[in-house]
Amino acid sequence: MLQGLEASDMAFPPAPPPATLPLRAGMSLRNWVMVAAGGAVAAGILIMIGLLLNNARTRLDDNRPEQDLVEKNPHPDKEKSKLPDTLAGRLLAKNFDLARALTAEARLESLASLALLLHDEGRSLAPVAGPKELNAIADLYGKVVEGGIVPRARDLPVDRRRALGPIRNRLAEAGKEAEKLARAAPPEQAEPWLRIAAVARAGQQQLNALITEATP
Amino acid sequence: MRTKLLLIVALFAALGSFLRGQEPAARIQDRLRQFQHDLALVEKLVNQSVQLSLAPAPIQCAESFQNVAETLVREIRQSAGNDDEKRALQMGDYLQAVLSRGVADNLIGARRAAAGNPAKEPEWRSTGERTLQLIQPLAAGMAPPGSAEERILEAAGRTIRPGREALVNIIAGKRR
Repeated sequence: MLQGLEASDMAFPPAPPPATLPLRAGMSLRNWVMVAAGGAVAAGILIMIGLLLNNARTRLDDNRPEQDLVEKNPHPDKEKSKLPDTLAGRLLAKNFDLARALTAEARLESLASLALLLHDEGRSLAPVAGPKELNAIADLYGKVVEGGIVPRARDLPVDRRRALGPIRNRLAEAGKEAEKLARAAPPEQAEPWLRIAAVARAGQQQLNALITEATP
Repeated sequence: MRTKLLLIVALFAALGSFLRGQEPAARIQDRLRQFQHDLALVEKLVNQSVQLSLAPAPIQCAESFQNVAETLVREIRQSAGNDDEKRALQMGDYLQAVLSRGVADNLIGARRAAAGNPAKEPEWRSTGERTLQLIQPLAAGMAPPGSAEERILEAAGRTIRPGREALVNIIAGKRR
């Protein structure tokens, strides 16, 4: 019966020939290397074009102050209240937040982010700044932490001191980073970083004590 | 041939990293110059932040921002006198924000707080009027006619017009 089936039209058609790699099957190793290298060159050219376009755009933006906004105007009014993307502009925006803040926690949060702004500015400027600028930043950082964050944290009622945890952690991180920067800096620049580290550590300890007091 | 291609790739990679390294360095230099120019203002703003953290009443907040406005007007006049239009306009942007979001917003709060207490009205009104007087030097006619100083002061004056109008409206008893 099987023989009969094989002989009839109902028999299975012969299996198709195995698929082969189209066109490229015969490429030599040398050709593959050439294609890979060509691809790398093309990628390099694309990266270059991207970098050049990005640089051109950045320069264009530098000439258009309207583009350097730290934030869009949150006002319902149509009036312009744009702020340039500078340390002064960012501080001013924080001060608007402080004046609008409704709770002591919100004010503390604004002060903590203000301290972070100063720390970041110091870190950004460190490669080119002299001791004068870094000392100025250390003084300002001290003012915000010792004259703002710590006293306002003390004013916080005991049952609301849980909010101090994230701020204490940020001060701890800032202290660690300042110590690291002090180690990497030349001697005349290390001193302001050591001061920032000391202020951050002292602030962290004081906030920690306040949190511990509140912990039953 | 393969070596040549690899060399080209290496060249592009080196050039790319060179350009990447160059741009931030130039920007950091600009940032340093900006920091040096703004240091007095930055110190003032940090002192103000410590004051504002004490949760003062809206009228005291408005007065605190009026104080910042005074510094900015001085900076604008000085920059205009030095023919430094870019800085004058940047200070104009700060001043516009201070007038609108600092002084005007807090005067509205002070006016609301004083509602029903006529004795308190002169307080917020006089703060608004003093601020308007303060920005008067940015109006036309305060510098030699046709000079670069006059042109720069006028441009800064245009920048702060919305903030000025907001103050005028508040004093007139309107919303803004």
